[in-house]
Amino acid sequence: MNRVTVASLPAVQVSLEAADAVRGLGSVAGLPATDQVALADLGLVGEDGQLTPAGRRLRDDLRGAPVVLLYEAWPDHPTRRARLYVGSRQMLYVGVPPSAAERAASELLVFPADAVPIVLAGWGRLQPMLQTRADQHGPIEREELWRRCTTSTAPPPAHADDTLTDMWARPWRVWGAQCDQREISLAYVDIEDYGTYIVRPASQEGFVRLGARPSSLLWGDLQGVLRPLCRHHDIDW
Amino acid sequence: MKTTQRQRVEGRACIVDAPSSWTAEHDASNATAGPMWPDLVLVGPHRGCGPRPRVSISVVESTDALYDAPGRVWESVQRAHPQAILTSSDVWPHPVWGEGRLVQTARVEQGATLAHDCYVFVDAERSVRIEVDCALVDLLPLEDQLADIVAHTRPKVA
Repeated sequence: MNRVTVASLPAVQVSLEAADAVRGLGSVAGLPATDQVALADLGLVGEDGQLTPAGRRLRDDLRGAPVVLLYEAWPDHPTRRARLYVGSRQMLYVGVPPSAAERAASELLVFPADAVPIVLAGWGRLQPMLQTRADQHGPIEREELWRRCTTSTAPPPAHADDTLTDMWARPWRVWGAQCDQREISLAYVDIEDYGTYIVRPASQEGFVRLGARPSSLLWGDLQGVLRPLCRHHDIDW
Repeated sequence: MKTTQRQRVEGRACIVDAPSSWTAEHDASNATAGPMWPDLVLVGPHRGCGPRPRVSISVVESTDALYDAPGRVWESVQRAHPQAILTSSDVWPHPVWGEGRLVQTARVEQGATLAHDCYVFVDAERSVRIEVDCALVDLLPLEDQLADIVAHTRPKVA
């Protein structure tokens, strides 16, 4: 089955300044020609170098919009981040360049606001396959888990059973979405040969549990963010 | 959603006890429409400003293995909607046909955000496809009704 990435969605590359200008921070008029062309292709900037009516609608819609932070990390690699600005009608995805030197390489995508779950699916590189595992692990100290997410050689927890010890030795990738304003907090770990596990807080402070997450439940989790994000809008729940 | 009335809806497949807010499109059971036409189409209640949710049920003679079903569903969705992404592929149980599959996809098409779910069940000589089309924002609120419709779909004995 095909692997889904954000790159499979129709994002364009612009500078970080252009991404800011689209949501009303700074002006589009002074942007480099490559940004002007990219934004013109999206119908946001006209021949006069100013925002089109569609561009102005997007800018106004994103004013005061909640921001969802997306992250992805492989151990021993820099964390990749993006931001979603979710308006009442449209959303703006901005892939943050990994370093200041790559400011020209910001990814931009304008989508309907109710497509946030699709963007999260792309961000999570969902690779749905039949997963019949239902194993749960933990409680695991949160610090210990994050150490494993950033360092491939981090040792397993002292009390880990054989399965958890084996999982600890496989390649990992952690990814998730966070929006404190709307109490959204999703975190998943993809573990090679095991599948996708959801990271949930355990009852004990500072501890988490890992639970195997079949893809239909995971897709339900991602759809679940629409409710808090769109609760001020006209979606009928 | 609470449903107080129950109805029996029939095509070449039948649904015993469909939720009362859903209605059958009888044209769909027109036998002259050919094998590509679904045996039964149910249209759900209007929600928000999106399209009305639809459930299409097709029963075809087939000895295809269940194992191959998700790949075939995904291929047919990709052919029809190249911008669709695959969001889940899972096991789904049915009281008559036993273990089946659920393949979920979603897409943005002409500014609308749409979901497509496809349930596949097989028995010795038949393959049953139950396809759901709705606005993505409606999928989670309709979850219980859709599970109800799927669980109450039966093969119609000729």
